[in-house]
Amino acid sequence: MADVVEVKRLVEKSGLTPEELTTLITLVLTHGLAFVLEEVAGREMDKDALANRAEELFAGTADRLAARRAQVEAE
Amino acid sequence: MKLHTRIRSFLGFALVALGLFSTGCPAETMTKIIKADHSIANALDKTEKATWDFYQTGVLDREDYLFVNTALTDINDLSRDFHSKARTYETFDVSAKADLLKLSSDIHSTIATRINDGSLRIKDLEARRRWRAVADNIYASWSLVVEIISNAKPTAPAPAEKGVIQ
Repeated sequence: MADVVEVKRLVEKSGLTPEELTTLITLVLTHGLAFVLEEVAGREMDKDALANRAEELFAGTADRLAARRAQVEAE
Repeated sequence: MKLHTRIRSFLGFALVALGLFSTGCPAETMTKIIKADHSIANALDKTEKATWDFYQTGVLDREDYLFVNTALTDINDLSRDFHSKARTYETFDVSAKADLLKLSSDIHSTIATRINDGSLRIKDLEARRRWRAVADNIYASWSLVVEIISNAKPTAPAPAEKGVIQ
């Protein structure tokens, strides 16, 4: 059961309690790791930086949607 | 009720509860709206990527992908326009509250329909569940925006409309 030993090592290294770890795993499973990490990063930004980051995400999503639509329509 | 459904319900409730708890602090209202805007943008970014993955792996066919792409484009445009408008308000006064509440309420109801229509195009039930888990973050964050605006007190009533909101 080498995996169990590795999990034990990682849990101890993280310093998280079992309850905190359960919360983290639940959030990641429910929302996805990338979503959770972006939310965490956002909480550390001030209002202007957060507003700029939101605009950056909106613009990136708009660009990808348009590019992928064009690609699919051309297939 | 399945575990993931209960978790999602809890998180949705937690988001709304956070919005209700955070009311009554006019000076911070615009900051809270911007935070919720960031969550909306984050959720849209991840939903678009998940949708493209589904197309590339054959979960979505061409016609259904284009349908979902259109729905996400509409949602992104509405959300981005709201974000741009919200950023122009320096303070949360009576006029700002009236404008933003009407706009956010209209967008909120439109988005619920578009997300639901989009999810129905994903025929594989497990894939649909995964897509909804990400896309529902868009709706939950929009619910938070409406709650924040609905419950926040304006910083100062405009003279012509004094007493209207109170």
